[in-house]
Amino acid sequence: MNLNYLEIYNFRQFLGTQRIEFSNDPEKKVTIVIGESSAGKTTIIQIFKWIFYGKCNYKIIMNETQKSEMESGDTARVECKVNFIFNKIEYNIKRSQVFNKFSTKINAADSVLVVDVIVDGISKQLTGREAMNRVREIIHEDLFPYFFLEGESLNKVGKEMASGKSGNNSQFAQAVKGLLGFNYLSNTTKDLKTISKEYEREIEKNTTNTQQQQLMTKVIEEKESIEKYEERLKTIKKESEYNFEKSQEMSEKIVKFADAEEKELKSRALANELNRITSDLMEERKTLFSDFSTKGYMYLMNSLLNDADDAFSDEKEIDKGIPGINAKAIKFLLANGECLCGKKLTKDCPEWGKLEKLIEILPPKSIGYDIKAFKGLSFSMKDNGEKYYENYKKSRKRLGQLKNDYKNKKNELDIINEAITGLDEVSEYKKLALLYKKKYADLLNESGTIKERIAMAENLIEASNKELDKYSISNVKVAKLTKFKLYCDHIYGGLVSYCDNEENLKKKELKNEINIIFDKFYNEKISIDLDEDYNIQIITNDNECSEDFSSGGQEVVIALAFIGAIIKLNGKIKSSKDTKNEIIEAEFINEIYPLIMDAPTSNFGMRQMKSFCQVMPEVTNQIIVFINDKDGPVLEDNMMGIIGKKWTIKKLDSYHAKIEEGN
Amino acid sequence: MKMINDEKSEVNEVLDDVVKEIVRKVLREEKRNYNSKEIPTREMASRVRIIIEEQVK
Repeated sequence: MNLNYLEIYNFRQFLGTQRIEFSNDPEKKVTIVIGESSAGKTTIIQIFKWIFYGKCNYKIIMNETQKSEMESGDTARVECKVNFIFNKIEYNIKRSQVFNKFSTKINAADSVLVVDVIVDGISKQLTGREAMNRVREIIHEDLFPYFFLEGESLNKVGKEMASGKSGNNSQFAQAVKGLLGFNYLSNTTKDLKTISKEYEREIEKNTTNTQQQQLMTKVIEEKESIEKYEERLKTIKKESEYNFEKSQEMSEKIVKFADAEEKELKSRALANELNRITSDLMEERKTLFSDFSTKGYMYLMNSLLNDADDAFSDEKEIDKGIPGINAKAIKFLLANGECLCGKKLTKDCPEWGKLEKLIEILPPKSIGYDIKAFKGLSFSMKDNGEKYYENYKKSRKRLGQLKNDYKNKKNELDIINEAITGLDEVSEYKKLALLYKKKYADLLNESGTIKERIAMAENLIEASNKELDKYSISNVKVAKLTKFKLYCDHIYGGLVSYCDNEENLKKKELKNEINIIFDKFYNEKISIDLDEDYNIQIITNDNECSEDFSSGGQEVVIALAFIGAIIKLNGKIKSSKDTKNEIIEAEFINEIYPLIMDAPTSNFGMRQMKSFCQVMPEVTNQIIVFINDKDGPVLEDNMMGIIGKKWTIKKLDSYHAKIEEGN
Repeated sequence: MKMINDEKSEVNEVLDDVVKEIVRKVLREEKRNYNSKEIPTREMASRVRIIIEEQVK
């Protein structure tokens, strides 16, 4: 289906004739319609619904100005038309409704649907039921909400799927079946089953022979029993799966506690070891701090000492004193007036002068002596500093090792402690495991018994039928009914098996297609699983993405992925060349539909918006997006190059809007 | 049709064309009715029965 244009006349805020043309260029398949809030974007989706099915969400479809200007006796008209190509045929579908004002009351006539089918330029008009049926053939009402997507319905469908409420009978599951072409096939099988039962009853009624009647009754009874058995088998299957899973779950929990005693001993040993490591750690820290306070300064002074040594490197000759002699000793000799050698010292003798000079260079006034002493001290301090630093490094290494040991042992202890937490619950798990196992075994036994009963019933039916065949030959009516029944049963069996196989196959394909789209939105970090009732389960493989997923817009992504996947799958069915079931497949709905979406990105973040713009144009041939003026520029940027047409709905006032091409 | 060919009953081999025709007609009728909703569900079985009996002489 490819939409060409939509023409609106006096529908709600759209006064007079207004028209939107949709892009059909395969390279530029997107049409965007931008409008501020309440400008009339949703109204346009409602117009499509009104044209196709005569229904919409509004009680009053007339334009307000038109309505207020009407006087008693006046007539007004609302008319909308959509033109499109479906299955290579051009269609004009028009719906109009006339309103008459009498006194102050406005009466609405029934709306009228007209379908123009245009083949090779020749138009054929369909009206009434014929027109209605053709519209439903083109797009069934049940499927409309899944191609003409209002923002709300996207959220609703997504929420229903994400919360796992799309059961087999839900509206959505039915719609999926419809989209995949299984609805009327399933109706057919139901009808065939009804007919088969009818034949059975009629055969029984027409059988005159008592023994024959008894056989017929037997066959019917046995068949009814088989139906009941099969129903029970289905329940047993679900129940036994549940009990098996639960017993497995309990067993896994119990296994975790199997070596609890051993783990408890290990826990104690580890706790002791942790105490030892803690004590070693404290000791090591104490030594480290103590060494630092007593020796650390020597290492820290190292560079200062080196600077000082450098500064004093040229001062070797300064020391001209006499080792062991200080100024006090010389002053003593001078005061005594006698040298150590016994020579008398007087102020006028030359030795007196020499000794007086010595006072100047001997300690305490001798710098050279001090420098020498300092150098000795500096050497010793530097040496001790180096030794301290070596010890410090070793101590730090030991501390590091102790810390690592502590961390590892602590982790080990935590894991073991966690594993043995809930040890008290084991007995409860054991009880439950036994219960589930017993229930599972009982169900298996029951299933076996039922299967045996089914086999017995089938044998009985077969034997009875053989007997009945002999009678039916002699009874023309019964023979005929039996023949009809044979055909009926045969076709029923074939269709049921076809439906089961095909539906399972298509479900798998659907799941793959959904995941392909999901990958593009969430980079393989989120995937979905689809169960037999079309219930969806979200599997998040990444925490970051999990946060992103829960940040909003996820329901819309789920719905879009699902609908996109169905459209893609429908396209695949169309291109399939598998002809082994050509009669059935010829009846499938294979048209690729456009996607018409109202505000699909309103809850999206920037990343989801980009993914949307990349993914959705890949799934179908035509996309029409109605978007808020705030999101419009972002969408345009991301879809640059594939936008074929752009329209703007300008809100003139609360009751009027105008559609214009471009900005 | 595979479903028919898979069965080995002699009856099926003989009746294959008749069955095909029934399937074709029944599915068209069901599909038409699925779209038009003209015939109430309970009456559709009768319509299908007529098709079967018309084809199986």
